[in-house]
Amino acid sequence: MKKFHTDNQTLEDLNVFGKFKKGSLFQLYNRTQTTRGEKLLERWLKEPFTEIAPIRDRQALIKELAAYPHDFPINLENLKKADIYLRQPIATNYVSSLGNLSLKKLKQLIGIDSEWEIFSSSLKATLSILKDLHTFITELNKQENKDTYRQAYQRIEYISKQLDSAEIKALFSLDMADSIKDISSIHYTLSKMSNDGLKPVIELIDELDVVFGIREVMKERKLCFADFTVDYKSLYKVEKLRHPALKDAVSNNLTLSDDSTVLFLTGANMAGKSTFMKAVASSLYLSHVGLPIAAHSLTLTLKEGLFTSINVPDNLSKGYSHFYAEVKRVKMIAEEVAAQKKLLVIFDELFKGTNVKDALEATTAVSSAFASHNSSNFIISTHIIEAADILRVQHPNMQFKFLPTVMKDNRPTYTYTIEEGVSSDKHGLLILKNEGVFELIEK
Amino acid sequence: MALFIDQQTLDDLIIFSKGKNASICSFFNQTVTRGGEEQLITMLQYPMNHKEEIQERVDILRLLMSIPTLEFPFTSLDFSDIEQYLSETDSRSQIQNSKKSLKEKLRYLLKVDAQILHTKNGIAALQRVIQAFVIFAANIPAAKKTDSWNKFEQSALKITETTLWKDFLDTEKSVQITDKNIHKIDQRCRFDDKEVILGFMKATYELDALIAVAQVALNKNLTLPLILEDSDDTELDIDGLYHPLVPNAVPNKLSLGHEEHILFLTGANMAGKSTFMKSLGISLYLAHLGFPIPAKHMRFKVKDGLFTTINLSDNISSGYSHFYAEVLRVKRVAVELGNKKKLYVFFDELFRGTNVKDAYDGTLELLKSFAHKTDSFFLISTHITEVAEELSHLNNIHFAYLPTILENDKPVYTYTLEKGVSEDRHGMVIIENEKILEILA
Repeated sequence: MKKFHTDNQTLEDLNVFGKFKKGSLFQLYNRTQTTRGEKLLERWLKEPFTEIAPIRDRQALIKELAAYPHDFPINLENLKKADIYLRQPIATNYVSSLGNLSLKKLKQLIGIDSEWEIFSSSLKATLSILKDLHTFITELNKQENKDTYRQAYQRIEYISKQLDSAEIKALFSLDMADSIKDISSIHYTLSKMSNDGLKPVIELIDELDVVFGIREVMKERKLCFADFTVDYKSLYKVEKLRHPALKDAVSNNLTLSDDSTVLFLTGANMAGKSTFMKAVASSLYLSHVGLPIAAHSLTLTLKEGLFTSINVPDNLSKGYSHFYAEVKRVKMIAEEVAAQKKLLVIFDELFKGTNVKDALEATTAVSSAFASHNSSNFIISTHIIEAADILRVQHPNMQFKFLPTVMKDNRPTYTYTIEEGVSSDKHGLLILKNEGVFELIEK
Repeated sequence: MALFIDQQTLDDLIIFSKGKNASICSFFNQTVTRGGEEQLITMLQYPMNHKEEIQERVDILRLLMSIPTLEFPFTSLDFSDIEQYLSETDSRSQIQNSKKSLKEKLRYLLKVDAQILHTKNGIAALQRVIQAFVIFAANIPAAKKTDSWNKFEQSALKITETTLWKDFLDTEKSVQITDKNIHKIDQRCRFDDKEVILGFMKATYELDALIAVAQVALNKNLTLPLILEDSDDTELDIDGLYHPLVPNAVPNKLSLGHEEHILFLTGANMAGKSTFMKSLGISLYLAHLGFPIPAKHMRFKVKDGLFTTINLSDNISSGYSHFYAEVLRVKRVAVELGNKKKLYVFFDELFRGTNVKDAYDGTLELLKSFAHKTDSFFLISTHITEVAEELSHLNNIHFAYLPTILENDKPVYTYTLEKGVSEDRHGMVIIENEKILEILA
């Protein structure tokens, strides 16, 4: 599968990673109980899909487990203990396995070390995990609609078949003694399960850990799954979109489609432009991971990449090099767009380190150039509202929306609700006036 | 009264620094004694806002700078002896004049009494230092001595008018310090004439600090500033101005007159706006100390305060908060201006914490407002060159810029101030060079 195109700036903007980073997407979706589960979620977030099938597959698995009536099926204590056994080399043949274990037992008997005890208890823990898993799969099979999660189900099915084999089943009913013979025969039987030993089983458990965590998140927050469509060249249609990390966030609607691919967004500093743009970007990103998102509904076409410039550090001191870096990045994205890549591109306050004229000229030129490409979607925000006047003439199908500022007792308040049109709020000057600066000087 | 400054200004101009980083203080700090260093720091903390006080300091420094082979006239070892001696202020430590018994005398012969030794050393060192001061002062030709020097000399050498000096210490009379008279001298030095002695010591420390400043001035070719009358037509005149802490700094010239009390500075980001502002800020700061400045010559008006906003801390990530910090800073200045204070006000990249549009509006309105405050001086830098167009009709604004030259599509900076408004449109040039629009076409 192709790689989803994005870069560090985007991942920073979206706050994707970071176990201890407040409000990171990872933190929001991470309710895993094991370190391996945690790592798997991180990998998921690192690799959004670029094909619809695996996205639907993951969505289906999450939906299916969300409907599953019981909790995470594996005993965590056993899972921890089993770890030691799972890291053991697999037994290639019964004789060597027996010999190896006999040595361990002997060492135990003469009191050299406790390897035997650790080994056997870890093995027993592994066996009870398999039992748990077997019960879980049996339960799950009773549920309906299991054919919707084809690939995931195939994995489960594969393991299920092995667990159902007479050999393994015999182990479940084995009254476990501590004898070398018993232990080594269990060890040998388990080793035979697959070429990779118990790897598929572990992988399934990790996946279950992640998904059961997401199930918890879904219980707490109203999330929905994205619906991927192929009826459009480029579509992003969201209803009641919220920022994933904000509680009580105001929701907004937005439709970007083939005949209107560019949104030109204006609004004062605190009006919520960045928050809205981050919400859009993260809903798209998470949807490509196959995770549920904070919205009422989302219909979109599959994208090949996502690029945002939202929290570009305001390094005026870096000066030219900073501006140059920004231009370089725009160029890189322009090349991708020109190559008919299907992208979502978000620019917050382009070219802010330069003078108004340059910023105006550059913003209109770049926006206008982007607007002629309908395989990607664009959201461009700026304070230079004059750009809107120029663009409106050039591109009648461009969308102009703004986040309003409402004055209450001469103090700016914000609705965070997107409205049609262009903002003309200049509350910077107002704050100066509110502070009485001019009167003070003239006094 | 001292010049109005605050921590932001001290930080912007790097007057002091933590650790071993270079600062204006470390630049001048070539003092010999610890007391001298303390004096220098105190001086640097309190720039003045009185022409007369500043002129006095300038005169003394000019005198010191004119002395050939200027050197601190004392040995630093003497100071440790004196400091150790004078620091013991407990009256019980006073040397007693008691008739010594034979036994005590004997013990004294066998074993040196540490306390008496310290006292003897201290007094001898004091004698030498006073003597050296007298000689230093006497070696300055009377014709060179200004009123301010005479005042300084007289107050320092008050000690030579005391009977303590006349009876015991004056080396010309070569009175021996003996076991018989030591208790009398000790009594006078540490208790009776303590104030005079401490006054003298303070003067020597001050001399140490001033000589250090004068030496740095001579070594680094600094010049003493000239003070302009408030009514003078010239507002500020400075030539060969450079940043003392920047190696190979390019010198700049600035001459403002005819009611020009606002300097509107533009230029690309790396063109050197901040460095120029800092150099001018440092020079004005030093000028209000009566200290020599890093320039060829400088004429300035004494004002009541110096407020710079160059490196306003932007650790607050939210745009609003940074903008608000700027607003509060502007307000602070506004309050002082409203109180009829004459100020030097510097704002680097005013309102960079907000969007271009707001910054444009805010800068414009503020400058219009500042234009009425003709007895204050404003230096405003911005990358929003459009503000200049709106203000071009105001004749009290001087427009200057730091140019950028494109050489092979790479920007090169001259760091030389020029008259006018920057018309560098390199933003668009760079975009064109990168052919972004062609790529998308």
